[in-house]
Amino acid sequence: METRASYVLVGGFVLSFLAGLIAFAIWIAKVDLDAEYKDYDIYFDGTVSGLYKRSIVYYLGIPVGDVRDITLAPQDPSKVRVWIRLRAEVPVSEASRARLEFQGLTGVAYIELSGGSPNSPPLESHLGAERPIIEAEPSPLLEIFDSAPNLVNEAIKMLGQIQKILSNDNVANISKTLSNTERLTGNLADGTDNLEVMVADVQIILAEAKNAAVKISTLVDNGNTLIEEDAKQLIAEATGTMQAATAMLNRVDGLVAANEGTVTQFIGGSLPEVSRMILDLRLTARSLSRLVSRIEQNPSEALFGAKEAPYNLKTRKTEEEGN
Amino acid sequence: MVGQTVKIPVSKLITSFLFCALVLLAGCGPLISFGDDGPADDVYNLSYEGGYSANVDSENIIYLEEPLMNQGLSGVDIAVALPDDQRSTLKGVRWAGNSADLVRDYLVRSLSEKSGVKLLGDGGLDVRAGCRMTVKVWSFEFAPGERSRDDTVDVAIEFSLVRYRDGHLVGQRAFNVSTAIDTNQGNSVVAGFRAGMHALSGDAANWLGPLGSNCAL
Repeated sequence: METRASYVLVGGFVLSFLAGLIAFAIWIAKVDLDAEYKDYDIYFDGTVSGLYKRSIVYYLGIPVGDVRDITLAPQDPSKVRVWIRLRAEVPVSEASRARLEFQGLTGVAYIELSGGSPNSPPLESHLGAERPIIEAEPSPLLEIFDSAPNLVNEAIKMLGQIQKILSNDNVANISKTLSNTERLTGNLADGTDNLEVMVADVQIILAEAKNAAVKISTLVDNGNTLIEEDAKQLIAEATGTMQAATAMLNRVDGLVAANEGTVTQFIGGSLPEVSRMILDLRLTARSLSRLVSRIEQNPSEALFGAKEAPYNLKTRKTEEEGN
Repeated sequence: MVGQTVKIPVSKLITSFLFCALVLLAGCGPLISFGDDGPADDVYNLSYEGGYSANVDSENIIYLEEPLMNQGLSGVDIAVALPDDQRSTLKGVRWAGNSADLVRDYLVRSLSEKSGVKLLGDGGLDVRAGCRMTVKVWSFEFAPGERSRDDTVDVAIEFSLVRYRDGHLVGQRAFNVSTAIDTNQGNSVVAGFRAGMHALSGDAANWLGPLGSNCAL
């Protein structure tokens, strides 16, 4: 007996099943058939380690798209071109900036977009470019990682310097300094016992200084009085004296000018002569002094000379020896 | 009697004056000597044998002061240095003038001619000079030896050159010359002095010449 199946029913069931399956897949994939997207390019300087396709793109912390592709820049191999796709309603303007960020310490990277001012014009594709290009800015965290090796080296050097500073000798010196400081502070603490005496002395000194200031003030007042009253007369007399002295100097100047030749001759000729004459007089005075001394001691010898035995060249003896 | 005048004869007055003069003359006998009857001394001069400095530098003039003679060297007698620092004078011989004057005149002429620097002596007191040079004569004596061929004449003079302008001591140097003479061979003691002074002035002129520029007027 042949089974009479309802082909229409089976076909309807299969089609219904397929349609349900497609709907389920769409529901599972959360495909937004109504969504519109825009593609952009971002050129990063250097590495984009940790960034992969499908990595999320955030705008002010809101996921607004994902990374479509990562390639080297066609014109500059030192840069990396990242193709991203954003929802059409994301306000990307000329002032928007893209930055590579990391999630915690896992090393997974994502792209963070920051907006510009609301008045900035929307970002458009430049001539010759496939997609509009969002300006990239360096990531602070990435800079820290880049400079980390140098920081480690500097830290090692600093540790070496600290080790030198904290050598045994310096530690001993620091200990001495601390002990001296302790002794000094102890002495200061002991010295504060005499603080009252010291304050009393300072008060006495201040009182004396006050008296001195009063006396100085009085002296200044007297000086002002002297200058204003007595000094006028004194200055007048001094002026008169100076005028008289000036007149006298003028007369002396005239006298010298009139006798310039004579004065020059005296200075040039007579002064050396006087100088030498004084020297000769000194010698003469000394000779006279000796003569007077000899006369006082033995007048006869002074006049007729001392008795001495002359040397006879023929006998080669003195006269006394000869006799 | 009041008002009576006493008249003394002139002859008695002259006689009394002569008597008093004779008494005074007799009293001064020890003080006055008329010399003895011994032979006269031989008198010598110390003349420089060279010429006179006619063409010398008149810009650099030095006034040579009177030499200061060491003890026993001054006077007209010729000093003799005996052993044990005993001093004497040579018998029968003397200088024509004071030894200091003789030395000064000799040095003025000899140094002026040999050094090229104008030196002024006794007659140049009123001439303006740039320097003065003091002279100390340490030795100027005859020194007899044990034998006649050991006799010497020693001359030692120290010069000090002082600039008038600032009293700066430009230079100071002592020169010493000992000249051997043999009196038995007819060598005169005075010739020994002359030879000694000649050698010493030559050395002094060589020292003084380069220093003359310090005495520019």
